[in-house]
Amino acid sequence: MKSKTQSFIAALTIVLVAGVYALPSYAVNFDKNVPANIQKQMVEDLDFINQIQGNGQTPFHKSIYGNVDGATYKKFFETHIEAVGMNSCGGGAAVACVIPFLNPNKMWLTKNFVEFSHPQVARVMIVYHEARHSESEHGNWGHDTCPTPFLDENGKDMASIWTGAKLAGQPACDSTEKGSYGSSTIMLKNISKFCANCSDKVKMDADMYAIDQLGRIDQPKVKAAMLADFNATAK
Amino acid sequence: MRQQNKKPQRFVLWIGGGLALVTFLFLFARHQGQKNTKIESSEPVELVPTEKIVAAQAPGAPTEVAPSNTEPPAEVLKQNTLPSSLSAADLAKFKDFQEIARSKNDNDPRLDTEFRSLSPDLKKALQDFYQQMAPEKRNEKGLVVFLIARDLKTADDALFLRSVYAEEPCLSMESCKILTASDPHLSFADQVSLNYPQMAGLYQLEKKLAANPEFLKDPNLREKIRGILDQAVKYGVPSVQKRAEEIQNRFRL
Repeated sequence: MKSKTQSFIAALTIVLVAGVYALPSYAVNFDKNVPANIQKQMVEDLDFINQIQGNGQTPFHKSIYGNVDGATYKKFFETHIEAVGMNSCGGGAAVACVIPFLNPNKMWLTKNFVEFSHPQVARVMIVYHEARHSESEHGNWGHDTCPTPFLDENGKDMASIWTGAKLAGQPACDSTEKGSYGSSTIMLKNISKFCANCSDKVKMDADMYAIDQLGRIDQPKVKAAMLADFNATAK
Repeated sequence: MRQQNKKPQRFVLWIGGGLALVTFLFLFARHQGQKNTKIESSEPVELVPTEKIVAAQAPGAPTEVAPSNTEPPAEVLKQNTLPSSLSAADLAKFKDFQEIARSKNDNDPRLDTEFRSLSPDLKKALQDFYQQMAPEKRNEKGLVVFLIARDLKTADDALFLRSVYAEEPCLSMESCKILTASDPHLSFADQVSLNYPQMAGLYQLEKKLAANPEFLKDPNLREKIRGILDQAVKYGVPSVQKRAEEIQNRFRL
């Protein structure tokens, strides 16, 4: 009888352990009105980021996220975002947003999340950028107003390539590496440099979007510190 | 005495059985949920945005509605059309490519195993596929450019890459032909994605030349690469022009 009980408990333990491992990597609470294809894409993107294995990280990455590692990114997302819903996020080309006055820990997605053909890393970048905005204890990392004039390295106005709308005077910059632009730039640059199991394409994409987003840092000293950080490695 | 010993064992059995039942029901419910999701999402993902999803509005949501592109793109991709000229091995790779493109999984390991060295026929099939895709498929088109630029070997490859920079720039993620207002908050992401095929080509070209400078010793290929970059500096987007100029300067092309 004793051995039967032990066998039963052992079998039960196996079932429970198997059950835990069978759970999806991310526990995302989607509103009922989030279409299945958007839920699927979001879960797949988060699973992708959860699988990342890194072989190093920069000091800024270490201080904001920790090591370059899927578990680190998973924890970051799950401690920031408790629910995901649908919203127009102001319309236009928006893909995702956080609306602190509605719920700082809820992320809203738009239909563009699946309709627009962004690389996977770009979708992930947007999700983590918005997740950073959920930190109410830091004023949701509100963006800095871009200086006027706001010029690129060639002395030209930073502006939309097609509409010509200038960024100067817009709340579309960061004055610190810890804000949403800065932190997601650091995340991407680290994925590009240290991801050990990312495809060539993912690493190329991460670098491409990181370099472009770095342009949103409006303080030259901060930008220089970030560039220096990208050449450093933290233990 | 024997009866007394059985009581704790029965207690353990009851508790254990209860836990097992709860676990079973939980896993069963979860499995059913996943199964349902899979059924809903197992339909092939169209590579041409022919249908739009109506996003439900959350309570308190802003009233603006994203403009929708009601005109289907001119290019229609016939997903079931497979190149008849491909060998069995290349056909299998081509199907894998289509599967990867539809999955939107840019980290599919096959990209770095099956697609490092491509046959001329497979490259041709990918180039035809590129032409058939809707221009808004920036990531998928960029994937084709990435693969061919990474494996750039022949004049035909160079000719294809050159043609990518002769295209009309894409005006918006929604429709390459229609200019729409962009939100400055995350407009940089759109602007990179709009030029993604062009930038992917330049990234790979630079990487290739940096890793294999001797590549430029072949006068024919050197001329072809120069042709690609000459076309790229004329592309109607400053960030692409700038990147092309940087490569020209770096490799004296």
